[in-house]
Amino acid sequence: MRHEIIRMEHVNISRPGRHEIEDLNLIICRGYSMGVAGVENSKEILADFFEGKGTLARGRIYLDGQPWKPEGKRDFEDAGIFVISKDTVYMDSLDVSENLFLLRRNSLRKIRLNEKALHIQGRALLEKYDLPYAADEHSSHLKNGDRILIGMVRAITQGARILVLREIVSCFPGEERRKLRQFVNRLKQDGITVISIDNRADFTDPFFDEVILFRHHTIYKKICQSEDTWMIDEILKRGLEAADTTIPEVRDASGKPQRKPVDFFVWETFRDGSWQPQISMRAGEILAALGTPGQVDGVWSDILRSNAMQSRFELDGEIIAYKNIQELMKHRIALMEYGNHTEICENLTNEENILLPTYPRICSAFGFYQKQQKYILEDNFLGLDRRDIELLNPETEAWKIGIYRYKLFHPRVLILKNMLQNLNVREVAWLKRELREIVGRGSSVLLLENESKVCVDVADRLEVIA
Amino acid sequence: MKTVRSFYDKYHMEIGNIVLILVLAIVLFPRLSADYVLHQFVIIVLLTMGLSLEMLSGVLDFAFMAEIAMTTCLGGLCLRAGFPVWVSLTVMILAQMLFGMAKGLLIGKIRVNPILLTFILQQIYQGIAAVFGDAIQAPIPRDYYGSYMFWMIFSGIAVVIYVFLQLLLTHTYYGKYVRMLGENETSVKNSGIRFDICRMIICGISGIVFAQVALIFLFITNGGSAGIGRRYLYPVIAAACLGGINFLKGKGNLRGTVLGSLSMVLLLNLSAGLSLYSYFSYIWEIAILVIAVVIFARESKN
Amino acid sequence: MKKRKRLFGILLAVVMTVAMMTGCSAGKGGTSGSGVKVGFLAPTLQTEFMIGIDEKLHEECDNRGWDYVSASFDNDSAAAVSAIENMVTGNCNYIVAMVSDTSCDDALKAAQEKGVKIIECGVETAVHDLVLKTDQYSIGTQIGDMAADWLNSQLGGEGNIVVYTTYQNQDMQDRGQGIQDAIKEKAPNVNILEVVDIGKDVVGSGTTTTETMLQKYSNLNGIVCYGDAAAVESVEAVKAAGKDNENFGVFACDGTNQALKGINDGTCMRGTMYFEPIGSVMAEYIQQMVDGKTVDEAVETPIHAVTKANIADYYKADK
Repeated sequence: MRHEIIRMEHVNISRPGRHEIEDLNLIICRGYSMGVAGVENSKEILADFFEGKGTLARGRIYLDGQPWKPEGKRDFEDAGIFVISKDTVYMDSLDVSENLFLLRRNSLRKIRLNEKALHIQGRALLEKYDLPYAADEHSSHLKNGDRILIGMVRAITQGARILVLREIVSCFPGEERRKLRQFVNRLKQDGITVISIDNRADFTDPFFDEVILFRHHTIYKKICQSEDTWMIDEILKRGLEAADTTIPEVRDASGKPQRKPVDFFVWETFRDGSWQPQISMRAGEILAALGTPGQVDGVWSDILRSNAMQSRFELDGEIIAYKNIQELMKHRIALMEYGNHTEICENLTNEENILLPTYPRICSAFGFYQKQQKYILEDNFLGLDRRDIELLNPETEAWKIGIYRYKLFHPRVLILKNMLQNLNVREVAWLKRELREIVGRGSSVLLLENESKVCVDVADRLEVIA
Repeated sequence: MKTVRSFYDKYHMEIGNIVLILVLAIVLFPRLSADYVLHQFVIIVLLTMGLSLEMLSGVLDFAFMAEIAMTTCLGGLCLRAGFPVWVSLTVMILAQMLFGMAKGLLIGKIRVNPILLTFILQQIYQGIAAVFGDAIQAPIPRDYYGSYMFWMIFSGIAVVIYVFLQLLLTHTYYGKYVRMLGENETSVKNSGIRFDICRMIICGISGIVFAQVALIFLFITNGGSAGIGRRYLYPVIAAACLGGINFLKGKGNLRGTVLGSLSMVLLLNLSAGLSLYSYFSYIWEIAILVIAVVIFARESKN
Repeated sequence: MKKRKRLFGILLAVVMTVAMMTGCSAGKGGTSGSGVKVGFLAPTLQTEFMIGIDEKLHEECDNRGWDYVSASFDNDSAAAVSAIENMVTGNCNYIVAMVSDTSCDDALKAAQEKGVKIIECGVETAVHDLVLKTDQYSIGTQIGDMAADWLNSQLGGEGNIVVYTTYQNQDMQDRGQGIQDAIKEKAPNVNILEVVDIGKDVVGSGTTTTETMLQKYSNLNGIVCYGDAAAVESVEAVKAAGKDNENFGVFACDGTNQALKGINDGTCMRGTMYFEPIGSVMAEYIQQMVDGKTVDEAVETPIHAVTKANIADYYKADK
């Protein structure tokens, strides 16, 4: 039977400005290995907690069988819990041994430095863990991965019993990852527990005792290798989406079934003396129109009428001729281009930016709209945590603000340019979920893209731009 | 060829300084007076060594000359009040050390930009020193300035301090903390090192080094004043930069500091030696500082 | 690392260029053919008074074919010591030192022992070959006399004045005392309403103090000031307050061009003390020493009272 180090019972962990993790039940044993993955910052909050930054809001924690209430990084380090991240401290001005033995809590009474002894000890440690560095090497040339390994050894020399590896896998590209695997296996043999908090959990495949998935701020699923191997494999192949295939329910402010705003939608251009349909869509459909960058730009400028091409839309048989984007917006046809978020106002909060088109409707004559704002954002429509909204970075995540805005705007057609090709896997997963919600309410989404790989997963139908 | 190349790469700062010293020495040779060069070198090298220790730990200090002025005023007052010389000198050394420790503690605790903090301290110290009046004449019993023995003693002190700081930097934990603080204070803090106390101790040691200059000033000017040594602020920072002390990355060594100080002494002599306006000295100093800061900043960014 | 090398590259290039350009042009030992090099050690080279001395002395040296170098020590006695050393290293054989106390005595003595002639100006210390003295109390009494004469003639020996002095410097304190004593003696019915410490060389303090005084004393007739810098500022403040009339007078010392212009233009600036250009006087005495003539160890700086009556002798519009 494995020796239990930490037991968490119905623990809630909170961090200022973030949603807390709820009802966490965990047992961490000696020589145990655990993968933690998830969305909505939950795993980051857990990592922060191990770094002494979170607050134990509820529940009990036992350390070696005794009730324990950690209050800071020092308490965790005293308990032998060390967090290793890609920002793990490493000093170029010190050699490898000095990095191993000097970067720790110090005694001010120690003055003389015995470099010889330091190097001997360093060499012994490096040999023990098969790390190919010279103890007296001045190591500014070391890669980030090597520095992390040295940081892990340093933690061990400080009496680490649990190593929390925080999103370090990306620092070990290609062959480097094998080195990490070997090293972590070695740690397990020594009875050191390893918790990998990372969505890219593939490196830990052979030794995971358990994988924990967070969703909706609590543990969504615990997967043990023996019973759910297929699921781990699936996760390793497809990432979190494997465990998270459900599409969120469509929220409706009124509670009534949403009337489909449009049954079909056609975009036509005037060529050779007649109107010719270019793109046709049905309601509730995500269509990806694929082409070369030039073709995508051409279609986009045709829609914007910026190249004097005559263009019109047909919605359920109603012809919509327009002169500018404002007229399109009147007919609830919304356009958004990745990286061109001129509509996002810097002087407004994220919340205000999302609600901007809606303000005239929700404000009273005196401008009191807070209640409606909460109602729209939190309770009945977007279902967002308002604290999460304010954490969005308006520079890098302006597109998210735009998506929220148009989700609220409830367009009949939403046309997005170059979105998927500019997003990473997690962001694509997020966008997919949001677009599913949007089309679930009856809107149609047109994606103008020049890469097909990601589009296959997101769109219902692909079309190639002629 | 490879050996020469690697030697040059390793010692390029020293080689550069030596070439500069030789060029200046040749230009100034007929006029250079050994005792004057020694006087100025002892003062500048002591100041530069003290400052370098701080700069290596990532603090570009603008307050040290104001601290020295305060200390000279204090020493002058003690002597004028009739305290024995050894008591006055002890008070000065302790006061300078305390000023340094207070500065270190403030930098460690408040964690604002050290440049800003030391600027503020400079103004405060100058203000306090000015309260004592324009100058405090002290009853110095004899002409120490012209005394060969006096300068020899302080040259000896400079050598002892050099050896001490060299040992500190290479063979003690505190030497390593100096380098670590200079490289990345946040990382040091995250490692659990008691960095604020370490900084306080480092600045205290620098204070003791600066105190030697305060003693020299007291003896050679027969007193203290609020503005004493103010003119040395930029030459000393420039000398440290010439010596290759990178305050943005905690890099450099004392060897460079000594050579940089000698270069600066000769550069200061150059204006008078060549009948140039004294403003040329300012130009040297500021030009060196600007170039050094630009280079260090780019190095640090890389 | 490459960038550090660049630092030295640039520095070496600059140093060598300067050294070549100036070193080649300098004569034997860094002095011109005359073998005379004068060093001027000034407490500051940022005030009109000091700049005037520096420029005049430079001009006189150039006219005589001497080399010249000047340095300011910015009221830092340690810097003064090293400036003296640099001048000796730079082969100066005459150092004109405007030191403010005895802090540089040892350095001056060492320079003297190396054969350098020391000419002190303003403050007399133990080490000098020649001292150009100015009795500050006497200057103060001359300013006071000038002011008292005007008060007696214009206001019938009655009126209210304030005196601007400073206690931060002994010389100026003496000058301020001289002003007060002379006014009390020559115009006993004049009220000295207040003696104000306006600080030493504090730009702007003349304006602010005068504004305060004008508000405080509505019956003020005059300001007697230890220096022209503050006096010129006071005149502007008086003009702004609309008190620039025939019954208001400002008196000071230094003979700066701005003060002379004020007198010439008929403002309330009524009088100042004009120092014979110190640069010329010093150059004259150095010339005598170069020529091997015996010079008195202490000479007084020639000084003249300038009022509306004799302004034409001292003020030149194109100056």
